[in-house]
Amino acid sequence: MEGDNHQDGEAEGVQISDHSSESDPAADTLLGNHLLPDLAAKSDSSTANRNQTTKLHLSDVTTEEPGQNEELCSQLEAKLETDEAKVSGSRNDVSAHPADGGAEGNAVDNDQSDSGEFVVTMLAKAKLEEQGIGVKGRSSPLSEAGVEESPSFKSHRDEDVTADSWRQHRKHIFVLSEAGKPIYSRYGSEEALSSTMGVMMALVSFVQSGDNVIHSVYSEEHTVVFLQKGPLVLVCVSSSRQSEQQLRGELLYVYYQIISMLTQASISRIFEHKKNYDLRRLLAGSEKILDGLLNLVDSDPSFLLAAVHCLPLASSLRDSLSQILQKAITPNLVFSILIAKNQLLTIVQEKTVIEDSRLEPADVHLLLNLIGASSAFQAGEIWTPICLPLFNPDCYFYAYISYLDPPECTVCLLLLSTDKEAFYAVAECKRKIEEAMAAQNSLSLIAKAQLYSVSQVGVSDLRHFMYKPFDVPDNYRQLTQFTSPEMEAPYSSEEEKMRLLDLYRYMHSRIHSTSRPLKLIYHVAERETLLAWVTSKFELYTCFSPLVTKTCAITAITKLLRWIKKEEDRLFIRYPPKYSTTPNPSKSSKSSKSEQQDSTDNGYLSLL
Amino acid sequence: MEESLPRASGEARRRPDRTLRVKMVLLGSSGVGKSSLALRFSKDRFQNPSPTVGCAYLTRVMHLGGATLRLEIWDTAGQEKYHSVTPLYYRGAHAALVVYDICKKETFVRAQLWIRELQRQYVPGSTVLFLVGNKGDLDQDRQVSAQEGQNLAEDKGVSFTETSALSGHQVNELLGAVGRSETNKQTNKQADDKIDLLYPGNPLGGSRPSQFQVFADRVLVLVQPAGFWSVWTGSRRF
Repeated sequence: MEGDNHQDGEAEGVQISDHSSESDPAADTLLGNHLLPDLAAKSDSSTANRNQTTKLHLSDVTTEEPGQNEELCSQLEAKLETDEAKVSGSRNDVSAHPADGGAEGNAVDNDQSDSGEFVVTMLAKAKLEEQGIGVKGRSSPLSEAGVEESPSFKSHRDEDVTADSWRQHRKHIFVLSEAGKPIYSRYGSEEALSSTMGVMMALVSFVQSGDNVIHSVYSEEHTVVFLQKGPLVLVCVSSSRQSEQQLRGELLYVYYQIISMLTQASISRIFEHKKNYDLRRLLAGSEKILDGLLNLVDSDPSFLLAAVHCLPLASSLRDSLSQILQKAITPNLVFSILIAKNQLLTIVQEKTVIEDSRLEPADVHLLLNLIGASSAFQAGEIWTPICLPLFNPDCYFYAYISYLDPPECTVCLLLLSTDKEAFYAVAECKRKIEEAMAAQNSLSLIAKAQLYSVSQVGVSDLRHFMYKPFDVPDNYRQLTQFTSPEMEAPYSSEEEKMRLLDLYRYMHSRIHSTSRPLKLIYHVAERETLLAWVTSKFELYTCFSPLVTKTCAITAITKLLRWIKKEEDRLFIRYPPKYSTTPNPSKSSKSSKSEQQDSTDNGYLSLL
Repeated sequence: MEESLPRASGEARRRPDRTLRVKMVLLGSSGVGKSSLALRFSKDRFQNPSPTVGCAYLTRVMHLGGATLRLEIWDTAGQEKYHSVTPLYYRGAHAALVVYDICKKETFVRAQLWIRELQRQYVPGSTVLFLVGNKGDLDQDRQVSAQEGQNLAEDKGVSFTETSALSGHQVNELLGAVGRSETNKQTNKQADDKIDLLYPGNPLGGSRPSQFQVFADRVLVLVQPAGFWSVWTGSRRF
């Protein structure tokens, strides 16, 4: 893929020392990667890598004040004329664009697209033949590092990959190494799929040998999307009708989740050292986190919008919670995050950190997924190394995670420190926070907070919406957020929810299409009418009852925008507060830089 | 943990001298039941856990004889990706429980490696090692006999027990053993301290105290070197 070379360059400078002992005494010092160093350098590369869906297409929109009713109307109407015709043929043209990839200039050449159907069938049929080859490499674990850890927590892993039901899954995700070794499969065990993955790798390297990169393969039923990141190859086989960009964005999330557990630097190092390394050894036990991520990606629009959803809360309460977090600090603490019902309540950041960089929505998503996916957190206080891939893909933070309201376990505190030894200090911050929250009776107030109903907006015919503002208050580079009401009838069942999300995904793919981006779509679907609109200040997706007229929809949107403006203090984290835990930032960044030198080998080599 | 904590601090206020902090760490392959044991230790509950992320910290307050022990349980993740950070958790532990699954031979082999690593790292006498064969309730699938466990333990000079986190079998006994080993150790240490204090290698020339008195949990030692009295205050509480 383009723009990937930065990590190779990074890996070049890395020292490889061969520790043969399976647990090195020095290993404990090695995980101490710090994150503050060379942020500036990093931020370039990470923006390049970021999910394309965040890209905006703001060409000629000039006036979009929510209040300017008339101008809005005329603008809308003008667009609608041109758009309606296109929309009618929508269903078909999603599947009919092998040209989409071709437009980028380096996609698969034609005969391969034609044989897309064949490839997909082949992928599905490759099954168990030659399976022995794939498994053999794995069967001598004792010689390498003591005993193979047997991943004992399996859910979809036992599925029969030859069965029809396996093939009919809506979206398959596979992760493999450049050597073709299976690393992860969403459904079915990786061993059983090793020959299928072998075929995938063959496709990738075949196209590569012609100095080209395979992006995607389209068939009638499926879209196969490839993403190569360093030594990892991620493949998505989807029948969900999502756009290639969206699917690639989802693969990127999977990649980031793996990075968040292992760091990019150590993955490159491992594979540099040993091409056919079985990364499953390091990911053992984390399948559940990846499974959880993929379920969230399918069911939570935050991933599609690349924005964070925070729990609506009276601004006074949110401020008081922020103040509590602001007061409970200890050296090297960089982020304090309060979460309720898997949604953000507030987030407080270290001052010097926020100047350089902000927390990316994707990093927050990964953290939320980590918390949601592991019930183990409910037992006690957790202290774990974790990497925030968009912040710095090569270093670890140390995360303290604890629920504040056992046994219900809905309110969760997450404190991120750069100091791996800081557990007791950070745990003390939690006590302070707990005490302050008890004094202000915060927990019961938080318990009352909930999502709002679309009826509160007071617009008839409006069934649901998603609103993502870009208007950032001056000097606050803040977290990208969006707001959305609860999905109520007729979207209360899982199937209907999914159907609405699919419609939103379709609208999103049209808006963000690389070949022909749109600013406005009025889409009359079978059972509802949707309107999506992107301006330089916001991105909005709305869903109306099917009988709504264009004029009604336009008035409704004006009302909705006014309502959001009025409620924005409650719906969003407006002014993310900061604290300072590094009295002498220049000194600290220097010291952490030197520490990063040490930590370039963070112990994984000892496992090889 | 939450319900026992206030009790502990109340206790601590009353007799601060009697609360011993015991750092205890659980090590072993993934899926052998470390988290289940930890949950039994701290809350006497059982639930099917998901794999531990990093390390979980739990506490349990225990009364043993006249002493109150505050057990700080570090439940480490068995997954290989966390091995490089495990020393962070077991460093300075008073007790280390190396856990294996009696139904999985390979976890027993791994346990030997853990013991070897610990014995290489720790200061003799500071950490008490326990070898724990867990999942005793699955006797029918047993791959490691109790005798094998016992032999290994004797060979390495560590304590051995078989438990079941599911049924709770032998869990309290194990916890008691950990507690006792620690109180014994600390009592011995205290006795040593006492002697140190009574005969301090002190700035006044190493003379023996002639008299001492206990006030407010502190020892006042009256030293009489060469004709005049001075007061030596013990820094350690009794």
